[in-house]
Amino acid sequence: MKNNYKMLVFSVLIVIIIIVSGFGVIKYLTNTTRVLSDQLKITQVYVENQNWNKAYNSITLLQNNWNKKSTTWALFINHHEIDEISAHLRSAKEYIKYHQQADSIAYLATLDHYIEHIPQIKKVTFENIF
Amino acid sequence: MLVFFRTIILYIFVIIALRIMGKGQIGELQPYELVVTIMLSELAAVPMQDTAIPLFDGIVPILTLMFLEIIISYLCLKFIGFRKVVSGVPSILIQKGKVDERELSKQRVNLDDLMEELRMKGYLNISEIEYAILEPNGTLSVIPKPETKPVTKLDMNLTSNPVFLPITIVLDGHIMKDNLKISGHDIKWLKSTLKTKNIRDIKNVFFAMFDSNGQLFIQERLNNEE
Repeated sequence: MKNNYKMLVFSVLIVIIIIVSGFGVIKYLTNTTRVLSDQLKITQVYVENQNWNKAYNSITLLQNNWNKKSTTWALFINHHEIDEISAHLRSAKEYIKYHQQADSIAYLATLDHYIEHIPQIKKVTFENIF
Repeated sequence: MLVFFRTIILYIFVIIALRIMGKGQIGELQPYELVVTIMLSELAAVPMQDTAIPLFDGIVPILTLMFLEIIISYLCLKFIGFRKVVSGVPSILIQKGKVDERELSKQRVNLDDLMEELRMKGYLNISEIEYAILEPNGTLSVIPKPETKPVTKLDMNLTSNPVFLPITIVLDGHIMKDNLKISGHDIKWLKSTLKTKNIRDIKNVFFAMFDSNGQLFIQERLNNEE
C-alpha cells in the first residue's frame, strides 16, 4: 500500500516536471524567437534601403546567434524545421552578399515565417491539440 | 550511430516504465494495460528510427502513459465502481452446467471459441463443467462439477507434509546472503555442511537450495565433478 502511494507521488511529480518544463520550453522559444525576429526585421530594413554592408553584417550576426540557439532548439523542435531555417538563412545571406534585393526580401520573409511559427506550434492551444 | 544511442535511451525508458507499471503489464493484461503496452511500443519505435524527432518527444509520451497507467490502477484499487468501468466485470459463460447463450453473444464469443478454450484447459465435454467465467483480462476460468473434480488428499483423508518456501542459498558459486539469513542459517553452517559433503570451496557449488520439503539440495560444478 505504501509502495503504491510512493509510485503515485513519484508519477505525479514526473507529470508536474513535464508540465512545468513544457511551459518553460514554450517561454524559452518565445523569447529566443523574439530576439531572432527583431534582428531579422533590422536586416529586412537594411535590404529594403539597399544598405548592403549593414545588411550583410546584420545577417551574419543573426546567423551566429542562430548557430548558438539551434543546438538547444534541436532538443525540442523537429530537426527538419531547424534545417529549413539554417538553409534559408544561408540562402538569404548569399543573396544579400550579391545584392539581390527581391530574392533577399523573399528569403528573409520566409525565414521570418519559419522562426515565428515555431513557438506557435508548441503552444497549448485548442487548434494545436486537435 | 545516432539511432544506436537513441535506441538504448528509449529502451531504458520503456523498461523503467514497464517496471514501474508493475507485473500486470507483462502478464495477463487488463484492457487499459493492453492499450498502454501497445501505445508504448509504438511511441518508442517511431523516434528510435526517425532521428529528426527530438528524443524528448519520445520520452515525454512514455512518461505520460506511465503516469496515466499508475493513476488508473491506483483508482481501480481504491474505487470498485471505477474498476468496473475501466476493467469490466467477469462474465459467466457456463452457469450450473448450462451455456449462457445471451452472455456468449454479449461477449461476442462463439461456441467454437468456448470449446477451444475448454479443450485447452483439459475439459473435453461441457457436461464436466459447473461454471466457466470469462475474466476481464480475457482468460477463461473453469470450475468443474464436483463429481469430475480430481481427487485431493483432503478427499482421501491423507495427511500432507508441510510445504516450505524454496530458497536458493548458493548460485553459481556465490552465497545469497539475504536468502541464507531468511533460511535461518549462517555462512559457518553452510561451510560445515559443504564439508560433510566433501566440498571444500563454495566456488565449487553450482547451485544449492532448500526445496519445498525443507531439504537441502546441492549440485556441484561440472568441471569439479570431472
